[in-house]
Parts: sequence; C-alpha cells; structure tokens
Amino acid sequence: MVTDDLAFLTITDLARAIHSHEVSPTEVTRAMLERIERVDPRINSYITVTSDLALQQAKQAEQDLASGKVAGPLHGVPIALKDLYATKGIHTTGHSQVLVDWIPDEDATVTALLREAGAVLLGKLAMHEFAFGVPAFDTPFPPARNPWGTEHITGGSSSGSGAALAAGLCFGALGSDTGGSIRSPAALCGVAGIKPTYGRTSRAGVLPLSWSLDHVGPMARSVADCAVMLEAISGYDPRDPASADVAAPDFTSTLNDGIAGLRIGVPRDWFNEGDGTHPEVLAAFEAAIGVLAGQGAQIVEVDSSPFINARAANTIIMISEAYAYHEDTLKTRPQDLSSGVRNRAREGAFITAADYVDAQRARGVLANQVRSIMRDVDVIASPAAPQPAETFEEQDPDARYRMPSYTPVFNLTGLPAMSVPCGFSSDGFPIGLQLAGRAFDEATVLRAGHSYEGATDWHRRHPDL
Amino acid sequence: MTANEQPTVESILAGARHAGLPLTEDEAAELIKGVARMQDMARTVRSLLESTTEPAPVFSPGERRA
Repeated sequence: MVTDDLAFLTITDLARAIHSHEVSPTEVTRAMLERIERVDPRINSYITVTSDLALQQAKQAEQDLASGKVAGPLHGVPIALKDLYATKGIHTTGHSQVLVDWIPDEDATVTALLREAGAVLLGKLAMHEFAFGVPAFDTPFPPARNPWGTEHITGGSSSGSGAALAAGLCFGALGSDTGGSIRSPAALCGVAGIKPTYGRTSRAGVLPLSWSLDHVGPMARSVADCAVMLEAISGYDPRDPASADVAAPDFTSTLNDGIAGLRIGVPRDWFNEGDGTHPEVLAAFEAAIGVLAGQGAQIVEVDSSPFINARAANTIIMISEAYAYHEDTLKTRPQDLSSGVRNRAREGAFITAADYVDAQRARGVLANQVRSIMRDVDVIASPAAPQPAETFEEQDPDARYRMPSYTPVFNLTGLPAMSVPCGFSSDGFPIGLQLAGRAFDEATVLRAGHSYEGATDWHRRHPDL
Repeated sequence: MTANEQPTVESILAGARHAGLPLTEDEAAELIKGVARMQDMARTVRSLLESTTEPAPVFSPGERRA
C-alpha cells in the first residue's frame, strides 16, 4: 500500500487491513512517523512526537494480534492527543510556557482507556493555549496551520487535532470542547468530531478551561471512526466528579439503521443573527438538509431564541471559571501566558459574583427551553461554524461576536453535538454541518451523521500536501 | 465597577488592584473592549432572567448532572 493512501484510511478500514494482515501496526506506525516528519513542518500539528513509544506500542500490538489477543478496532491504530491530556512520562504542555516542562506521573483516564484499547500514541497535538487562546505567535510552539491552505487558521481550540487528521498525520485524535473546540476545528479542517453529553467521558487528568462546560471527545475522518473512539473512552469515572454513571451503548451497532422518520429541527432565524452567516455556508447547509430529507428525515422549523441567547451565559461562565483556574498565574507569572489568554482571563476579574450566578440561572432556563424543543424533534441541525477558515491575518474577534455562534449552546446544555463535513467554499475550504441530540443519545446523532456521510463524499476529500 | 459603567483605564486599574492583579496602564487599556463585552453579556443574561422565575442554582448532594 502506498504511504499516502494508507495515511488517509479511516480507522475502520485500517483495522480491517491490520486484521487481514495487509499491513502491520509497525509498518503503519513507521509510515505515519515518516509522514509526520515530512509534512508536519508545514502544518505544525504536533508539539511532541513520541516515536519510540509509538514503535514499541505498535510492536506490542503486533505480538498481541498474532497471538489472538484482539482488544478491539483501535488495536494497532496510530492516534494522537491534544496536548492537554495527561500522559505519564510524556510532556503535557497545554501549548503554554506555564507548563512547558511538565511531565505528568500518571495518565488521564481517557489516555489510559485508549492505551488499553490498543491504540498507538504518535504524539501530542498543538492547541490554542490552555484551550482558551486564539492562534498565537507568542506561545512556545507555533500555531497549527490549516492543511487546506496554510495561511488559514484551523479553528480551535483543538487546532492540532483537526489539522493532523486533515493532513493524514494520525487516524484519530482526542479534542476537548468548552464552547465548540472540537466542532469548530472539525468544521474548518473538513473532518468529523463529536462532543458527547456532559458526564459521558471523563475529564480526570485533562487540563481544565471551565469545569462546568468542559467536554472530552473524539475527532476522526469519518463518523463511524468517531463512534469507535467514543465507545473506547466512554464510561463512569469516580475521578471526575461530573462523570455520569450511565452505561455507554454500542455506538457503532445502530450506525446503519437509517434516518427514515427522524425529526430534524432547524432553527433558521438563528442563522441571521447579527451580521448573519456566510452565504456559502448557508448554501452548503441547505443542501445538506436536502440530503437528509431525501433519506426520509422530517425537517421541522423550531424556535431559535434559546440558541441565540446561550452565548452570553456560556461566555460569562467560561471566563469566570477560567479566571478561577488561572488566577494564581495571572498574579505571579502573567508573562508566561500569551497576550490573548492573559487578556481574556483577566476579563474574569471584572465579572461579578452576581453575573456568574445569573449566568448559571440563565443556563437552567435555556436548558429547559432546549429540552422542550427536543421533545418534538430528535436532532437539531445548524451550520457548525458561521464562515469557512479565515487567514491568520484576517482574524477579527469583533466580527466573530457579530456572527451567530453555533456551538456554545450545547456546552451550556450539556447535549451531544457533532460536526460533519458538508461542503467546500468557492476558494476550497471545508464547511461543517452540526447535528445535536438529546442527553446521552449520541447514538442518534452519530446515526444521522453517518447516514449523511453515506450519501456524500465531502469526508473523502483530502488536501494536496 | 457597575454593569452600566463604561470601563476606563482608571476603573480597570482600580478593579485589578482590588483583585490583586498586577496591571500596567497599557495593559488596562487593552482590556477596555473585553470588559465592556463582558458587561454587555451580563446585561443580556439579566434581561433573559427578567421574564423567568428560575431560582439560583442549587447543589444537591449525591445528584449527578444528566
């Protein structure tokens, strides 16, 4: 198999190739390490490449598989982790000078779960500093670049996860999502990513941004691959106080059940909030809705107000909790944070206790309103991002605040939401479709996304690198 | 600083002193826009709550968020 073809296989296809002895875990790991060395200097998706560990894990997987010990579909599959997941004995930096020398002495729960599933760790991925910053040039590592055009941003904060997947530099990755940090880079890099229900996956050993909004989830090049990874990392963990004691279903078994009769709610007034949504994003979204309707889904217009109102409460809670986490650093070594994170975190000092409590009260109101809407529909659909990837130079945070923000409402409500590739802009940058569901019903979200993918080929397109 | 008070370098410096945060005048100037945005967000939240009777969030021992 040619290296570049191999690099863009899905996890499902790679697992099949490994189990049928077309390729060995060691061969695929060597090929990926070579490709990272060749391609990543243009993309900057990796902070740390764990070559020796990866080859050692690949060899172990090969021995296990040869002796009939098959841990599952991730066995021998090279993956990578956003650099906020603690990895025993391996630098975990949060893409920040503050933690540049930190080597954890234990794994995050999800790191350990992926290891137990037989996954091979290629390395640690770039991110926005502490999952909080913007693409910055005053951090110890350069920002990840979009493989579809390296002058363009990747979306964030799981920037390296989106970029590495789109560039064929890993087969699956973990991101994290506090206001859209899985779904935004998935959309802008043309890959899939799911933020599961709050409590579904453990945050133990994961650097926090905002404890009540942080979610752990997978990113991959197909919805089915996200389902495989989500299955591996789901489950109750007493080390995370927000972990839910809810059994994780087999997320892959219902993927092919189709969506005939599925009720999909579309809050269209949301798309015109403020300066509105990029017309090419809207066109791709409407075409995607047409595909879903063609597969038998019922499309229902729903009230937009809770979706529009969520951003303010989400922002106040996130900035307040982030300030609590970074307060000591802001007081004692602020120069070790990038200017973007330093300024954003400092804003938390000017949010009052009443503002924070009111934001939590508003959260209850909005969650009830969204739950009420979701009694009549199974899934909510929207664009995942209001515009395709900008260039680094074009970035304008003020303009972004004037556009609809599609992702934070599902952090505030804790509901599962994913982004699936649904088109390209006229200048060749990916566009994402967001599908969200009821609490602990990731299976329906994944089924809808998988059904859509089955009728389209957006997820099979790769940048020319 | 109240929610309706337009932030200034002086009010931000005073707030930073109160919070124990070291801050220069230039750094305070950089925060004006962001602090004003947070105030705007807080007003949006308050306005949303005006039409509801949602109580303060309550912690229930043993309960896990679903």
